[in-house]
Amino acid sequence: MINKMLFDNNTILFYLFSSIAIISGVMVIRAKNPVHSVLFLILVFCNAAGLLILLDLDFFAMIFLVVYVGAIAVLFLFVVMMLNIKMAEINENILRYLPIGGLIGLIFLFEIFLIINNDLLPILFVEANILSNLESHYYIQYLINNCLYVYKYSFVLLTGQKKYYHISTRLKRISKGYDNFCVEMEVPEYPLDYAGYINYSSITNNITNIESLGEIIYTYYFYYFLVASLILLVAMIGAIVLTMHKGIFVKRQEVFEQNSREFTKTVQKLSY
Amino acid sequence: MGAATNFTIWWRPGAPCSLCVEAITHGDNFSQHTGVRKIVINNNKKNMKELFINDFKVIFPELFLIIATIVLLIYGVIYSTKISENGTKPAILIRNTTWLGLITIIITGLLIINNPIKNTIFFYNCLVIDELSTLLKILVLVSTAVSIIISLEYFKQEKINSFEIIILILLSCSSMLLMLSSYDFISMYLTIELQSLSFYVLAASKRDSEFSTEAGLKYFILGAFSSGILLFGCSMVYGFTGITNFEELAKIFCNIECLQSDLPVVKLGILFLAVGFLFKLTAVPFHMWAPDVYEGAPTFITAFFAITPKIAILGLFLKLFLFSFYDFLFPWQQIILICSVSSMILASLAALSQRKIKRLLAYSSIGHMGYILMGVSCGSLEGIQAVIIYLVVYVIMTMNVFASVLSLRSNKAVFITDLRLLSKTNPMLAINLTLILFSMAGIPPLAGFCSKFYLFFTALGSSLYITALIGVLTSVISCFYYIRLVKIMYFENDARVGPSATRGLAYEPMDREKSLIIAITFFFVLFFFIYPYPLFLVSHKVALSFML
Amino acid sequence: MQVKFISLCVILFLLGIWGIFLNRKNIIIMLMSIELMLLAVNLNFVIFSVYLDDMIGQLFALLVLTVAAAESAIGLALLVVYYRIRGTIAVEYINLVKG
Repeated sequence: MINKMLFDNNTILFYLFSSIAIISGVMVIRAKNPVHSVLFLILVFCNAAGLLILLDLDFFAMIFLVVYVGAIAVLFLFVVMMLNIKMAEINENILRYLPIGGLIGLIFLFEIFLIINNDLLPILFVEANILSNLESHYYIQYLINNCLYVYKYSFVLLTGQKKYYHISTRLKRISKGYDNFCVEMEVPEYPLDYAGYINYSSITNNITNIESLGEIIYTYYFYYFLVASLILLVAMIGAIVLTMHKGIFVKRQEVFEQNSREFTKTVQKLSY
Repeated sequence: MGAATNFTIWWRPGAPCSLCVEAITHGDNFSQHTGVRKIVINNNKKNMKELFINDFKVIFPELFLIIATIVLLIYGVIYSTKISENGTKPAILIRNTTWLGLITIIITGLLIINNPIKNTIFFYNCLVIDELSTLLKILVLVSTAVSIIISLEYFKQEKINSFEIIILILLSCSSMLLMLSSYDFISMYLTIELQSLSFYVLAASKRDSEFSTEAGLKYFILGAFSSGILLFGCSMVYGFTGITNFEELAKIFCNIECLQSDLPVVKLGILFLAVGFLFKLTAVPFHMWAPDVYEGAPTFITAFFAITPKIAILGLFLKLFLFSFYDFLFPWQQIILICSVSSMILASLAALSQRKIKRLLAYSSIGHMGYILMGVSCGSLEGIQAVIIYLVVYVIMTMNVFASVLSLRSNKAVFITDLRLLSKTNPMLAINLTLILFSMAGIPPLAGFCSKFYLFFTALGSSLYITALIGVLTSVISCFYYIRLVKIMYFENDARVGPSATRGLAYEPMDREKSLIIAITFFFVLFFFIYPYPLFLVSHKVALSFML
Repeated sequence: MQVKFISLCVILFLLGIWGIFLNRKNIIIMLMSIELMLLAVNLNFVIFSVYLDDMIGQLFALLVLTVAAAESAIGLALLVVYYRIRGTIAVEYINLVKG
């Protein structure tokens, strides 16, 4: 099976991002200056985006930065600047609640870990055993298919021959017994004056994160899309209802009316 | 992507052939299934329209409500900013919009009753229509219509001119209709948030009152927090089962205790879900700021709060816990029982010391929620039936009480001693309020007694003996504070003491709409015991729909 | 790998809850804690989606993101309205409607 290295890049980056996220999360709550709290919140969001990039979800990382940092954190910053929030003094009451609250929080955390660990570890071990055979099957299959392509292409490129069926039948017999089905595709012919390298991304049916999301949200689950639009409508109406002062008696310029006035009819002589 | 390729497939019989577009019968061992087939990977894109074309016909009532709301919004925005030609005052649109909103709701109700499709799952397993959802949708529409009707005079007295209140009420009503149809965690969460967002704004809609804005803020924090907990529960259940659909969850959890494949993390997720729902239902360990919100919000919004979201969230609660998580009955039954018992006890004890009407009504509604949760935790079909009957009777009683409280607005009834000498100033209203309060306390032969009786019967049938006993005892205790209100109305004539000493006893006639509502609900409550069968039959049919 | 990620999300969620209850300063910390809770749940959905190879988790995460944005907008509007009336957003002054 593939060896898992202890300190590869992925693990180091994961620990880095998550530790900074947790420390910033604590500082959001404990910072004295509310502007510092908002800046630590932005740091949490950026670390979450980093974690998402580690998961190979590029669209989500981008959207987190745009929506969370760009909209929500900026809104928070606006409100914090607009309201006259005094910096908090050191309050003795906090320290009184801290031991009990911290203890309860730690107990809660420990219980959740116990439940998660008990549930996950057996599955991880069992799955590792079962999947290893299948994974290696697919891995070998994938290798064989790719070798087939590479072999075919290199054969074609090197010798100019298009006859490679005897190689394909030999490989077919090897891979016949492993699986329920074995697909062998006839290779489409590429012109020889093609740049000389193989564009695997056109052969493997690769799909990006945003494309896969689009394939479900606009086709099968468009209902969620429509309800989300209603939520945004309510947010807009709500913000306006709460904060807008409608000046009814304020005289404003009505440009369209002024422009569409017929000047020949505005001033009329009524009597001599 | 959609390339046409030639392929040859080797397979064994019994193995699914996942590459062909058409289904073909396969023969013997290792027989060849060849041919030139065009693998068009995104074939279904062309047929997406045919997949969903009937779903818009099924959801037509809600669609009508949403489109009518948007049209009303456009109408309101255009005409409220239009400056008339001779003066500079734009039109006052609130009464207009209110009546139009009422017509919209009545038409939506008619559309739901006459929906030709009675049982279906549509929108690709996101939504469902069955008897439970239809009955509760009609109940939600009726209570929204009544809340709008009884608030007409309130708008006139308080000089509220923003028509957006009606738009938000209609949007929250449509979200509750969609909530009752939801069949998936995502649609459940989205509609809960839609309803909650409208309510946060509605609670704070009186912008120049400290009480209202503080109530709105508290309600926001409470509601957002409970939504977060609910969502965490959803994520845990999704993570360890991979399923968000209610029906699939019901299928996968079938007989889970017999299989000895215990899933403790899913139980944790269900616990978080239950806690989130209990926050929204204002049950007791999680009722923290509910009485404050009820007291601070404008009275017609309190009426709307106390009635309508409870119906919708209860419908969702029933469907989720008695259908999907039915096989986890023993864990969550204990939680719900503890919450129900503590709701009943705390509501009856805390309401004894209240001096304000709206807080009293808030604690009494918490108590009623305790009784309903007792019925939910029975876990039997009679339990569901009892819950629905109790819910209908509770809705009608609460509509009456709030309509009566709203009709005392002329002297700004805040304290309970403001009700004094109602027997002399408005005898009809006093008789009505007396009988409704007796019904809430559970005095026979009124409707409240019938529903409570059936509920206790059901609880005894599910061996919840101690719970039923505590329910009866707290009923007796809660009699006290209801009857104290009656005593104040009839016998308190010392106008020189108490917090209402400096308030005058003005008498203003009730307007026509409120009197109609009060009369209809009063007669229902009074004469329910003579012919209760329609409600019992309908609720039994609804309970039977859970068998599917 | 998954256990580490889930525990990170649980820690962030509990931090958010802690921020709401043990907050004695001002209400905006409560709003930020609510955003932390929703962020934790978002990450939870995303990691479950990657592990289960199922797109529903990512769909749910996108929609929760939308709702979180809308909710923070309304929460901040409520805060602004409250501040206009009261002049302060310290937590110890929220006692007009007492319970």
